[in-house]
Amino acid sequence: MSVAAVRIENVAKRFMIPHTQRTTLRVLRALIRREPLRHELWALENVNLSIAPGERVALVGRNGCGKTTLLRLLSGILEPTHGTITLASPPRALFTTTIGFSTELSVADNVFLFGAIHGLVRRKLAPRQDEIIARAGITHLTHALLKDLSMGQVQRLALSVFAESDERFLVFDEVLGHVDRGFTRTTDVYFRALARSGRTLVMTSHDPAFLGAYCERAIWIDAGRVRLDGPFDDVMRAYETSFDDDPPLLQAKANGAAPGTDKLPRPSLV
Amino acid sequence: MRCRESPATRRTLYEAVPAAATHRPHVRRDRLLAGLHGFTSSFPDATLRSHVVDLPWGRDAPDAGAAARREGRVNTPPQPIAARRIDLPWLASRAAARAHTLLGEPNRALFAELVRAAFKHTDHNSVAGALWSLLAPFAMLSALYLVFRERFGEELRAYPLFLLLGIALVSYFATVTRRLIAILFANRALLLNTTVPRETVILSQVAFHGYKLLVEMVLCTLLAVYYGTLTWHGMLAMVPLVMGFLALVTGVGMLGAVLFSFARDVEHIWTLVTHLLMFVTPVFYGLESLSAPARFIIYWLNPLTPFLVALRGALIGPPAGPGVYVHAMLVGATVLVVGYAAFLTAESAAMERT
Repeated sequence: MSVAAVRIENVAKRFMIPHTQRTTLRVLRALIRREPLRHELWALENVNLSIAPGERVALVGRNGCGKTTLLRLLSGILEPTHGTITLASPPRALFTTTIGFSTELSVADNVFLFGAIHGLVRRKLAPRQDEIIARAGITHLTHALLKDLSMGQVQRLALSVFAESDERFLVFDEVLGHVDRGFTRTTDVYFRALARSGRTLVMTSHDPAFLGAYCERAIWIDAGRVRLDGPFDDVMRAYETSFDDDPPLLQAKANGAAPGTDKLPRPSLV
Repeated sequence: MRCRESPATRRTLYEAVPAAATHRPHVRRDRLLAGLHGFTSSFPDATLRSHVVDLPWGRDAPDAGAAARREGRVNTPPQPIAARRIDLPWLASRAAARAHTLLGEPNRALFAELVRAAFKHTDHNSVAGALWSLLAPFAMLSALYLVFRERFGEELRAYPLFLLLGIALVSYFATVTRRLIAILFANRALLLNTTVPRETVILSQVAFHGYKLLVEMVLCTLLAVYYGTLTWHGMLAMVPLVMGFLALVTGVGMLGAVLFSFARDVEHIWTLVTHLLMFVTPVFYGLESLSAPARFIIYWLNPLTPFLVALRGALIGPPAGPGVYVHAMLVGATVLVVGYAAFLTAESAAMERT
């Protein structure tokens, strides 16, 4: 058996969801009366999986199924309530691409700030600063404040800086939300190079075409559990089929009826 | 490669984990780690050899409900999990692991970038901006000097210096602790979406505001030269005192950050407390002017007082006794250790609750 780059054993993650806004008096009252202040939400349960070095894995699943929680556990941002995670090397993770910038700083300054937040030191980035900004296609905005950039431009900059990372294990969570087709081609070159480089990749996206271009394996997370794990095409086929049973909510609403009811409640003007 | 779906568990693994192994995760982990050391040594990049990471989360209790959940009841919660045992060795090992991360080059670079960004952001990247932020203590100094000069100024030596030292310490303490209490909340998106160590964000705030304290300390030293009260011994004594004071501020901030995540009105309560600090700390009056019980309370129950007394002794004289120095350093070290222990123990829960 080959040694895994990632091994997740019997991992569960519980969040404690507060009932109300917590204040000192409410906390004290609940302690005195032994009342619960919060309830449990199990985001992940009994997750077991193993990722080999150099494997490119897509995590798929519906909103709220636990994909991002699993990636945060892998990255060490959250701690599992139960179980063990063993990593051969710590991953470099890119979650929301707009976080890690300061809107009041210039693009040039933000290259170093975002880089430092993702483990890239100024000494390494400084000689490549112009190239990083040019790769994002915003050379003319080098001295502009970040708040003057569009969401897509910020995302380009984030990916351009992150591309400087040379970690063996990379994690991407929904990173191509706002970029245009032109930049998608640029990122395509980057992700294809990553795929060829033998690095371990774990990616999530709701775009099957994006995942399919780079991943050979998919793991379908459903309600906090691994529902299916296998070759990308097979898992995606099963995953796509799962939507067939969904009630057509918007269609029902457009027709004037909610699923399970005869009619929508009439809106009140009071 | 075929995709398999188990009807019992509705999940398929590439490598099935033996059921018995899940009850002995530590044994398996040791074996795996031994294998990983061999694996990573084959990497061409030598730096990866030290990156065998065994995340310190394995303190789990056996999950009695796991078998029932495998039956397919997806949303059935597991049996209650025993609370993690928090003991001194666990805290020490965790603190040592963090120290290793915090002292690494990427984290030092991150710390410098965060402080630099805070400077540029807050003071508009200009010297004038930095001077503006020093205006408040001097406005306070002027007001207190005008009001209390007649009452206390005659009996206290170098009264403007006496006042400035008090104002600098109390305003730094109040500003930074108020900022630190809400820091996990204010930086929630950053801390939940990046691997930035939480301590780095906290320390960057302490350091960023520290420059104002530093400027005020330099001004105090210049005033001491003007009044002819500065000695080499006094200047040397200032260094550990300021370090101890920073430890106190960091410890209180970490403790407050954890408490804030459990009860949101802690911030309001703390704002009230810091407003009162200006009066319950001997900023514009001397301890000698208080009654014995009041002096006892203000010296022993207010952690700022020993620092202030010792610093005034160093810069204005007469020098405070060694007991005051020891008291101040003990307060700083104890509060930092207690605050960091609380932070390490509860940071994950605090982060998830913010």
